[in-house]
Amino acid sequence: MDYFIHVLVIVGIYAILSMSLDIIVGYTGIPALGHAAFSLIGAYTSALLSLRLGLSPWIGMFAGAFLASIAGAIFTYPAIRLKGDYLALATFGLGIIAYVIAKNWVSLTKGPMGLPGIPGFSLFGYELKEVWQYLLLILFFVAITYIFLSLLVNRPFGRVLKGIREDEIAIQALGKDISIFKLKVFMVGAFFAGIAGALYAHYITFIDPSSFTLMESITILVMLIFGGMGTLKGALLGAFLLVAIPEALRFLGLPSSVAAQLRQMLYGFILVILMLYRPQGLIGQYKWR
Amino acid sequence: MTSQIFFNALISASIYALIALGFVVIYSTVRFFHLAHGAVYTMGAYGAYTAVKLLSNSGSTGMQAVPLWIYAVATIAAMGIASATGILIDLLVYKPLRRTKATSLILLLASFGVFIFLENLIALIYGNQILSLRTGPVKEGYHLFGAVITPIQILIILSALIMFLFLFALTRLTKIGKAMRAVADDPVTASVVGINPEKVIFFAFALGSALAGLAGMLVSLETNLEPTMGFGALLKGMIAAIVGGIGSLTGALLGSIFLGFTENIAVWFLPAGWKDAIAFSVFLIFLLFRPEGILGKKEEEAG
Amino acid sequence: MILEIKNITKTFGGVRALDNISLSITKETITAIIGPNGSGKTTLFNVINGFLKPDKGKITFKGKDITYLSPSKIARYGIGRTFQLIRVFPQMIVRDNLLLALENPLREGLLYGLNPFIRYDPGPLKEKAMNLLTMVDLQDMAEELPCNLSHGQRRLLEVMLAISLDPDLYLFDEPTAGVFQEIKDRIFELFRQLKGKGKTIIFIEHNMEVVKEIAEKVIVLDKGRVIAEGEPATVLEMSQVMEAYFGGEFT
Repeated sequence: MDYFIHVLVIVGIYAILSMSLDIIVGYTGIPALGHAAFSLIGAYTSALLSLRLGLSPWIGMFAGAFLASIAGAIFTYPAIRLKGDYLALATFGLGIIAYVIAKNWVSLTKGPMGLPGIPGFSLFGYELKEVWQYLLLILFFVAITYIFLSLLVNRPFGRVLKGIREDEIAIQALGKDISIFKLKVFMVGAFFAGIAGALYAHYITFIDPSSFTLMESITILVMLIFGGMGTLKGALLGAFLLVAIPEALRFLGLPSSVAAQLRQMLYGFILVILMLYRPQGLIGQYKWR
Repeated sequence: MTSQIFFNALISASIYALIALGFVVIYSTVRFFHLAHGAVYTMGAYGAYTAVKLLSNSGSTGMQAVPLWIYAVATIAAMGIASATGILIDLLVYKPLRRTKATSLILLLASFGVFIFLENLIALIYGNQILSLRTGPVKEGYHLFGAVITPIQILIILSALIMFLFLFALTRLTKIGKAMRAVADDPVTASVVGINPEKVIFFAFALGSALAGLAGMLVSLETNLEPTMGFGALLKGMIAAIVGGIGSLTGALLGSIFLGFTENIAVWFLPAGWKDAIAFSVFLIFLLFRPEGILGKKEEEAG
Repeated sequence: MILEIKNITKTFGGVRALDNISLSITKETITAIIGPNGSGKTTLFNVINGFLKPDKGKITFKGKDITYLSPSKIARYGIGRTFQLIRVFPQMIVRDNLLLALENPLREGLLYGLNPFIRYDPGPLKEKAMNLLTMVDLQDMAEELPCNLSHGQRRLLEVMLAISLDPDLYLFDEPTAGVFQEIKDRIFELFRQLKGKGKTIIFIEHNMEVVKEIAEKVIVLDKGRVIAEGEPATVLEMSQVMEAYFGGEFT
């Protein structure tokens, strides 16, 4: 039973990651392929602040999300004028640099050894220990993320994002400063990704760079494309399906390394099929054009 | 000391060049980033491995040196398998997408999907452990100008040079080579003068992938094989190609040299693990400030 | 002079699209820019708008130097634009297209977007959009996607988007190309109304009948230079103009 709840917690974390990616990719049309960099920053910041400075995970989480947001801004500023596939490569590069720094700055991050013993969340002095408690916590954050991002995309800000996605030139001709909008959307997306990263860190209590590889970024993207971009609900759906279904593979009694490879193969295969036959995913509003 | 750095840089540059040249041959005809090139590279390496194992009867243990002819056959196997893989990927995935007028972004994503799929397939079949293509005792290197360089490393450098000259001659002197350059320059005009772009693309994939297979084979001789080897190789090759100026063979060569030397000089000051960070920093800097690379031309679009 | 273009040169890889070109536009006029294909008309618009930066020269609008400003800033200063190939927002319904153009920029901020304590009511804005659509008899298509509109209706939508911005200067690039006479007439009506409100219009055109009907002044471009300007009747008789068009469109 605990195992199922654990899977749901993971679904929740990926749901937040997918939704935060959706506003960048699905609503604004920016091919961001290095999203794991932001959850990495959120996770490591929060973990280090609680481990080294004894700060509460709540503070760590917001600090991490905030830092991720700044990183998003710093990256966007020069990258903004790149076109399509070059921009995608630049975001790849960002993801890889974050990973490489985490792996090599051993004095700060302990490199590949990772950070063990990360303290869990506490609520009013009571430390959360049970999986179901974390599930409630995660669901809370999923709901918060959904509410805020929904507000954002349905308000004029979101309308401009869609305009950018639809026709960058036309929207500039209407007087909208697309660089500022792209900057802001990256900051918001990075912020929530940072939150997800911190949640992950304090839940699993151990992080190492291998949880934030390029493959991770692509996994989140595939979940989003699969569920459908540009609706937020698609992100939720994709996260749920693509976390839950591969978990079912475990029940086939396969050794865990084989299951891991099959899961990746599945993602790769799904990505190709989506691109070939259904780029709008299951319930998407937008497809790569 | 410096001569060792020089040779290391040259070796790195040569490896990157082999991958970059194949990548550029393909890119210049299809105009999108064929990331699965990394998986093709891995297929070549593992193809060679399988050939060596089959031909030398897996009974032989590490100490018995494998005869040279087996390595020659393995090289052909590597190039053949890689070439076939590249062609298949184009026929099954890219060609249908081209028919739907997919953007280069869609093709990039699809190619990444193929890459992930193939890389994990190889891991599934061969396992995750590190395999070795080398058998027999490790040969001692030659001493040249105060540096140590092994025969395989010399082979790598020579292969890169020969391949570059071969490709250069091919694209300037042969009919198919000139057709490739025409399609690279302007596919519409090329078809107007009677060049069949699909045929050219087919050839580009066959040739470029074969090169990747060769690179995989040579690198496996020099280091080892593991299923994830393709990723790093692809990235370095792509960085070299873009830095040098994507779409040109000379650019690929220049970019490889630039990357190889920058990396190896920097590692003198920084711990080895940062080598990748340097490569990607160079990559980002070029992408952000000079995406057309060292040699490239800036393309302007009339509004 | 609401717009002054001085010595603008723009080169593309060896081709001089604009060659030391200078011209001025008077306020509250309707000017047509004509010339054979490749004479630099659209490039000129792109440079004025900020989508292209000139190699040399200066552009002054309402007294301000706008040469190197970003397109969105230039739009905000009061230059509206339509394009040779119609640009509207394809995956948003017609009415939402207009909402994009009409929205109060203060409401488009991030903080407003995230604020859970205020209610956003698009009602009044939707009304405004419907009024604009009714002006051009498009109100029935308000909830349709642009792909379901005819070519002419899409062009009207694009024009309405520019009008929503309420700029002082309009740049219309071939606004009547491929459009039914009925919609052409609506567009002409709009031009006249805009001029009546004190607006200035410059439009690129290939159809000489259109030029004769609506333009007050004509400027002729060839190979990136102005080769003639003046009243339509006079200019269109000039031999240089005929020469420039030799082999091209000439109605």
